[in-house]
Amino acid sequence: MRNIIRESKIHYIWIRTETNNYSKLILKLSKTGINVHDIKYLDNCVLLKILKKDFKQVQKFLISYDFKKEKEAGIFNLKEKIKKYNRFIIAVIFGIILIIFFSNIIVKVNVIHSKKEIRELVTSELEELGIKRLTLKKNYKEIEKIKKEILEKYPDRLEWLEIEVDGMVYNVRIEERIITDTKTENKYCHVVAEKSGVIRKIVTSRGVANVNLNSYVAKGDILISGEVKLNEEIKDNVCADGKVYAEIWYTVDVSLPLDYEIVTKTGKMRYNLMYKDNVGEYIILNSRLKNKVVENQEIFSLLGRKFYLQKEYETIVTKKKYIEEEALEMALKLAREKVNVKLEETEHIIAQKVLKKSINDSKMILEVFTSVEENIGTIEEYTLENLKGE
Amino acid sequence: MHILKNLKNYLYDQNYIVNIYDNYLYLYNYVELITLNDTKLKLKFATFEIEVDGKNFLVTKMTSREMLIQGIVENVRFKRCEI
Repeated sequence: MRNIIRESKIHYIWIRTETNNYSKLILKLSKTGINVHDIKYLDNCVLLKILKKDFKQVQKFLISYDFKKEKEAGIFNLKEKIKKYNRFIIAVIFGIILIIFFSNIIVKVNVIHSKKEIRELVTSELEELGIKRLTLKKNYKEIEKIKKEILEKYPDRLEWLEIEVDGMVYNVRIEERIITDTKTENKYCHVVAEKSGVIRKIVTSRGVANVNLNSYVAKGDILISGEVKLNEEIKDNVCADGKVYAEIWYTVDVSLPLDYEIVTKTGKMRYNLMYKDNVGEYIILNSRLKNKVVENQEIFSLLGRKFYLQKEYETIVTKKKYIEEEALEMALKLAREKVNVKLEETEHIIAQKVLKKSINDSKMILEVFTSVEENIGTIEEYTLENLKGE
Repeated sequence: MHILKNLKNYLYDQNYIVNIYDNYLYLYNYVELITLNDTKLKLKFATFEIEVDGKNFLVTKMTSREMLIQGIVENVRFKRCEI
């Protein structure tokens, strides 16, 4: 280590002289006893790395050559460059410090909640704890502490609070605590069918199941009754609850173009810069790629304006055409997806069958019959007065 | 650092060193550079002279005791001086 430090303190310089006969110069240098630590040969010219203190000696002994100082070597070269460009370097450092400083300032605190009262409450609490406009950003630990303090102060009003940093803006999301009355209203209800179908599964939570498996029910039929009967006599009325799954049927129309395009990345990637504000997006450099897909990565955000580094991947678009079997498979998949969008996790498609198939104007048009196992139960309230009236 | 220093002392505790590589020639403890051109190199050591024939000789480092020459070595002749 000491050697390295000592080496860096030795002041080397590069000197230049013009010559056609390198060997003659070297022979002459060897006679003077001057150490040459590196030599670079250029066209009709030689660069020699020598000690700075030897430079005068070289000029003195080798009069026939015109030696000129080319540059400093090693760390001294760096020092010289820093000295030369000191104003620019200071300006850049100052600029970076300013950017870091400004990007750590909060210009807006957005408290997001529908109730004005809650918004005001949280805003005043945040201001008290130091989260307000034109102040420095807090670190993660401080934010966590502030969140905890507010939630502990209002346990009956606030359920959850999150402070998100979005550039120079704090977004505060709040969930209000709603303490519900445990006394429930006395209401009576049936679970009725909202669609016609064949019953496949019944899960009763409350009430009495009114239908059997594999039986057909029409829309409006009572599936789970709220009336608890014994020997045809109503003993009690409850709000029936449960799920009744039935096989129901849909006809789905699907139209699929036979021509399609495949976009593949070539592996060529270019960087670009993008600026985004409230008005729109602006690409800073001209894009050199004709067909591309773009990935954006945020660099920094300043006063609501965002700068992104874009990665542009070159792509090739290949035009293809489905053969009939492929098109049929794709169309059935589309039909499945179309039905699946409406279904919940516990519901599923049982079977599909093509009713009608035609090809027109490079399009396959399908009519697909789909049977689905779906929860058809919906709660319908009734009153005891109604029953008495009946 | 002492290990490195001792190792260096051991390696350099020689009257002379002549190392020939594929395209380099290293000489340690030479006394005088007598001849140098693209194809020929003649150096004087304390008790002998070395004459090297080759191609594209270029000196890349030269101190009062060491010399590093770039080029292709084809022939080396050793001549002991009469004492």
